[in-house]
Amino acid sequence: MLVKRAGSFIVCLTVAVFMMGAMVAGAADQKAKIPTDPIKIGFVVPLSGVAATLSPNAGINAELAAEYINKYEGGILGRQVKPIIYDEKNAQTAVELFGKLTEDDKVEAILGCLSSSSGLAVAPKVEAQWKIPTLLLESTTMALFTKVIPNAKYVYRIGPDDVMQSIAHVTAVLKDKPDVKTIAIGAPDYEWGHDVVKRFQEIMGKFKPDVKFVYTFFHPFGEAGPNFAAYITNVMQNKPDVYVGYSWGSDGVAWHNQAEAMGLFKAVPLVFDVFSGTAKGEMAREGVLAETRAGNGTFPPYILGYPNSKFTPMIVEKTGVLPTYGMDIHMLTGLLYLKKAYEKAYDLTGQYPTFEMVAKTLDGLSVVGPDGISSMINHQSTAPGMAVGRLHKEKETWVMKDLILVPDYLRIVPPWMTVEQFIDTLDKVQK
Amino acid sequence: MAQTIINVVPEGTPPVGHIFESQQMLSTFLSYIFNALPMVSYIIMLSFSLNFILYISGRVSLTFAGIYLVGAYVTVSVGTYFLGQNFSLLSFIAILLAVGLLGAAISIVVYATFERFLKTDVHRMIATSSLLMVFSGIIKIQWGTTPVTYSAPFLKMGISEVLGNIVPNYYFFMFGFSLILMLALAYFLFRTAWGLRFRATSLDGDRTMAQVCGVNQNIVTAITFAISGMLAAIAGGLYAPIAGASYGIEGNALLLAALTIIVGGVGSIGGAVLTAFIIGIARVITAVEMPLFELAIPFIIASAVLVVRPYGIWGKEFKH
Repeated sequence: MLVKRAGSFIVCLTVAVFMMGAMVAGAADQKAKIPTDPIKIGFVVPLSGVAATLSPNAGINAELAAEYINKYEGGILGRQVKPIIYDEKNAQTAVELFGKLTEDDKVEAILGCLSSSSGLAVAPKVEAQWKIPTLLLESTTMALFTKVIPNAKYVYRIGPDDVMQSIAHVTAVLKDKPDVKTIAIGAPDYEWGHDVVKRFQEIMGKFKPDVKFVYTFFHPFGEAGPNFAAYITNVMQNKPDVYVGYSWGSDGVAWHNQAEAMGLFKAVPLVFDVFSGTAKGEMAREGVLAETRAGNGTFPPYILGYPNSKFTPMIVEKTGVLPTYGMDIHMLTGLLYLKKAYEKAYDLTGQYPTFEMVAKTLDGLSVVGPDGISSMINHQSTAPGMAVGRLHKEKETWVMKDLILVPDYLRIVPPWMTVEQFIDTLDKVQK
Repeated sequence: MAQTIINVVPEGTPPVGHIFESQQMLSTFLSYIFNALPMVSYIIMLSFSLNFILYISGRVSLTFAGIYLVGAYVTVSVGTYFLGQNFSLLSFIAILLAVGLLGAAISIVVYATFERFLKTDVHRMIATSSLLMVFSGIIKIQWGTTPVTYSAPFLKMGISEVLGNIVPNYYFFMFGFSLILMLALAYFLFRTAWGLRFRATSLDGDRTMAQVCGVNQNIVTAITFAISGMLAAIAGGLYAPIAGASYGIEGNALLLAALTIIVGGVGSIGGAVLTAFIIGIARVITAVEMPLFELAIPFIIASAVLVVRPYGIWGKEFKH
């Protein structure tokens, strides 16, 4: 009797399995056909000018990111990625290029914008006019999602925002110099420069209210042949405990040379320089605290076993140097996000995804990328691997010592809070 | 034991705090001058590069800005290739002089093959400003668009402390070098027979009379272009170790040189030096005190001078 019942059960189960299989196969048959031609992805990255100093191989690295996706990840929905790469140059050019990529080149997503000014210029037009999935590689100003496109649908950001940056910087300064009393701070004179200085001052005020900012300045941004002697003299004359610097690109290289020649690195007890750890070492100085995004030459996470163990060697082989800036590896992270979004949207709907579907699907995704595991929360990637450390030269190579990896809970604004509310909680965190 | 305090300070002597304040003011003022030295030096040379052709040949030529760009890039490349991170003063001076000769050669070639066919100032301005794009294109092909640096001379020359101000020695070197060049030029113009020939054909002289007296106009013009090219190339070479060579510096060079001529006056070496100090120091002061005006201050100064002295501080109206 029991054997008979078991036999019937097995027969029913087999029939059920076959029926389910047939249903699934039927459903699969109903899915839209995926085009076989390559999927065109636009890249707007700095190939010339002030920003190109940070990431001199941005064009090559964009090609390599596409090559990686095609070779190791099977493309996007099985389609080969064809990168179309343009020079970001400046905000106005970036806007023109986004239009060209969308309207003429018919790309299906855009990755780009190192500079905040470019990001701020393209984002409103992406949201209102082009409506194309866009992943900003840097453009770290917080104003992007709080003021310029507060109800973003299509624009996402892979690089960190300036709150994340500033919390990491304040934490590093306080860990290295807990008795800090006076700070001088300088940045380039544009949106991002003003934002990071304001954030740093706010957050430092929360952690250590008695700290005095003895000198704050904003130098001209991207001026050809800059002379920073007046600012450097003023920093030194104010005798701060710490100098915090945000000069970058060709400005940054000139600033570091001039500051070194005038003895700033010796005169000020602690220098925290955000960009010293980037590029090819032109801005690196012994003993300076600097920020690094995983993937930079000074903090190659492929050694630590992150999944870019294949990607970083590809860059080294092709360019002869490690990735010089976070943007270099964010391009692959961006493609991985797009791959996942396209494939998830296709699986869910059975249709070839529209731009709107892809944009909706991006929010909440997590990927294992070259900079570790990151998630898209409220259009902002959690940008892992942001670290702060002390620069040291070993056998002609700059490395970072005493690395601080700032934990996510301390630097990521939760979706249910405004930036101001989050900053207000920081003094409680410290307590 | 009671102590008697004898006042040994003569009557009328300012109190100690006052002396301290005066010293601090002097130190601050000196810091403005020292920090302005690189800009002063390169403005002097650039403005006179433009000024010299204008004064001697009565021609407007903007080619100097392109030569300045080439001078900066060549210095960076040659310096990096031969010296790397090492530094030798004599070698660096040799590089600068070689770059100066290159600038002179470029200037003569451009004049002989192109500029001498341009007959009016409007043509010259349009044609030579277009030529700047050619220079930029050549730079782009040869060096790319990413800024390049060669900072060894600037970093290795060390620093001096002057009344509490730390000044890189390279600033003094740069200023001294440009001053020597200007003094040599002044000596050439005002103390030599050849200088007399140059002045005879200048805006101050009478070109027809000079030709009648046997002055070869073509040779004078060619040498004028050579000197102008040399000054521009050396200005680029001298400034490159401080700020690097980057695409776009020629625009700044052009503007500052033109404004200096407006403020200082055409043909005046003294005017060029004085104006370079005025603009250089004004930029340093505004950078610290009124950063919003830092980039605008040369234009504000030029506008004010034009209202008060239309021919410049040291300039005059020419007959021709």
